[in-house]
Amino acid sequence: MTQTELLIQLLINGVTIGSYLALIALGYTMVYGIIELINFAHGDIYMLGFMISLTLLGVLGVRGTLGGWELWAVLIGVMLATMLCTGLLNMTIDRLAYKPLRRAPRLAPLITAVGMSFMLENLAMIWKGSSQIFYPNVFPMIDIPNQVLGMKTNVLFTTKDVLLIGVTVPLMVGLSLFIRNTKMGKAMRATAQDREAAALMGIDAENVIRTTFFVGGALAGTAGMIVGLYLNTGRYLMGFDAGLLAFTSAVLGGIGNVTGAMLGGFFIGFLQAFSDQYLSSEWTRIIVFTTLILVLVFRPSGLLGQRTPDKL
Amino acid sequence: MAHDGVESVNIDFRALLTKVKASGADLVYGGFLVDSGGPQIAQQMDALGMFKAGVKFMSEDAMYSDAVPKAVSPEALNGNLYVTFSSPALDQLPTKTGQNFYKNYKAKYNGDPIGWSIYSYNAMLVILDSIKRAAPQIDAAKDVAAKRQAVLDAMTATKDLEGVAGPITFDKNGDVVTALFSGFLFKDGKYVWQRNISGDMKCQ
Amino acid sequence: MALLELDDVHVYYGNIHALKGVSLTVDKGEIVTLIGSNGAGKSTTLKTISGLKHPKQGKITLEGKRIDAVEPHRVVTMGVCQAPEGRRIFPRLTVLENLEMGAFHRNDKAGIVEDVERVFELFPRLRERRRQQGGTLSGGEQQMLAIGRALMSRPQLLLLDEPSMGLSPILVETIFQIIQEIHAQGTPILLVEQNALMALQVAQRGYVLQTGRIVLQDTVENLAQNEMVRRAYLGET
Ligand SMILES: Nc1ncnc2c1ncn2[C@@H]1O[C@H](COP(=O)(O)OP(=O)(O)O)[C@@H](O)[C@H]1O
Ligand SMILES: [Mg+2]
Repeated sequence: MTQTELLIQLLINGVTIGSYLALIALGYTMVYGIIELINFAHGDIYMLGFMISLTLLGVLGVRGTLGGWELWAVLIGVMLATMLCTGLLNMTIDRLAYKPLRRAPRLAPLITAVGMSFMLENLAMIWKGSSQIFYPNVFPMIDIPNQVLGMKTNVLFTTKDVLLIGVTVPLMVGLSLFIRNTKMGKAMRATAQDREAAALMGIDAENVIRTTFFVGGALAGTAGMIVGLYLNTGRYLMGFDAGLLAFTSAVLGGIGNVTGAMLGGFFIGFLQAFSDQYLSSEWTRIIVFTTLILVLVFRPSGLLGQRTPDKL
Repeated sequence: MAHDGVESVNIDFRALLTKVKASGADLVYGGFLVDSGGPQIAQQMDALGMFKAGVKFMSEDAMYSDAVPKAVSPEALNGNLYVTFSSPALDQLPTKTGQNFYKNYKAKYNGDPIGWSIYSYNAMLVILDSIKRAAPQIDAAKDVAAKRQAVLDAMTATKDLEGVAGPITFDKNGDVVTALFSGFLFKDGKYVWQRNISGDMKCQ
Repeated sequence: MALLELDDVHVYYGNIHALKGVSLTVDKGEIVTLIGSNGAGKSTTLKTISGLKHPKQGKITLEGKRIDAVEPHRVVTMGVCQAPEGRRIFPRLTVLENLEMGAFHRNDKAGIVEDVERVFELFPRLRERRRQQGGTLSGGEQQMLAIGRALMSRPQLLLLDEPSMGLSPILVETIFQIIQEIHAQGTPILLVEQNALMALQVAQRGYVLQTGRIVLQDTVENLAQNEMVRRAYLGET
């Protein structure tokens, strides 16, 4: 591998890691924006997106690579079903674990969130076992520079990278448009900025909160499925690791800020790719969290966060 | 040669493996477990085209399990995964105890024992033998604590007990003196014995 | 039957007994003012009408229907909207988006466009700034936005909590003119003010609230003559 090839490869790795981290980070930041809760169980919703989509593929009898209309029908169908499941699940978690504590001190729902996270992880372990889980290689992998463009390079960029970016980026754009332009999106921003004033305008805060949990859960579920298709592997603890990095992304970007969460996700993705390469992967976590601390010291509200604690 | 580390809860090692790939390494060796990282490394080595480029993957006894090809894919691992294991190949077990164990295990469970089965069988042999040898002291002991101490003393004194893979002797630190290793290569859907390696790591 | 009626309403903040049996009415076609010094319970009264607080005792009816247990967002749908104390506009929504939020429960697109136009006619300054974020407006403009936003729900009754607070005398004049204009266009108003002088000029009837109790109620003419009111609220000695 030449230095140029390596650099391009690192950029590709950074973008791919970043794109699913960003998708998960959105759920942290949206929920925080509305109810100032760090939903620790969010990473596990991502993990359950992996497990649920895997189960759905199993029910459909999919074990190997598909092609043609069958591929797209299965992908879109399973993705929508997974989004629905993880969205509803996230909504249910809010209903059971956070809503009863809406008026309690902030520490209380934070603790139920940690508890929820442990519960989901352990349920997943009982459901799917503690070992690595193989995810069928549904999406055909074609080496684009070498096999399609006829180049001779060591850079690996495949149709799977295209799938990953092609799903995550449009979803992020879609979410931004949803928040910017729809009535519900505006109501979310209004509620995040001033919940009481929003209620005085006829906005049902609980409905907004439910919608937020649903959307965040659906996005995390999609991330779980896409990572399954992309890495073909997962584990009941995968949500802990990705959740930690995604949460860091959200804080880095300015928690509560949707654009910030996406930026933060890509930032951490690149940081991971370059740190693994030029330092050592043992140091990557240290680098990530040191960066977080530095950003918070010099810009306490994150890269894009407002100075006031309210956001969206 | 280079050294690096991984988080056991991580599942995405592509960034690290890109570095390994770029370094031109011939072999990735790691002390992995089946349920934390090992199979993922193998799978992503395959996805990055490293096996095709001739890089091999080597790990220890915790990866000597059917779970690995099940979790990755037998095709990807074919001829690319080496594991070490502290016993000779199952059909070459040198002791009577070992041969009996292998025969009975197969009859009862209708399949080959994995590494851990042999370890636990050996452990049980040691415990039973220690109790047997400590019997007079146990009878003489005044209280439960003394009985336990008697068994422990007998256990550390274990010498040339016939285990599954050869005689078992502990040194003063409680380590096994006479470990015998063998190396396997995953090929055509199973682990194929390659050679024995003695405890002092010299190939035989 | 009165449009709005509070009957012996008691409200608590934990142990603090903030309203101790408040009764008042607002009829169609009226501006009624509620005056009182800081901490008297004026804002609490409006919050309770809007459903942000629920009375422990007593009842609130809107055209005969009980609303004291209704959630705040439903109270808006039933026709009561409030421009709260301190304006509480959405700082990072544009002026236009703030107005749209006022019309949140409505689905008549054409009617909403019409009402935005009506608000812009009342407050031409807002039209110029309609793409600007609410937080970048001056205090007076924010107050206009808060009132405009409340109007967007087409309320049967408009609640205003200290609309003159923190504004320059000229802006206070403007705001009170607009309050009269809104009233003239047919919206009854319950106006909470510390600026009794102005409030008594625009309203027809008034109530005086002291530490959670209504101590006086009368026409504004009589209130303006009242010895106690003159001393305590009109700054006369
Ligand atoms: N959120 C609150 N928590 C506790 N006490 C409150 C709260 N809001 C108001 N109060 C108390 O209730 C009383 C009435 O307050 P308020 O209705 O805001 O008065 P006003 O609007 O007339 O100035 C005051 O004694 C005030 O301290
Ligand atoms: Mg007040």
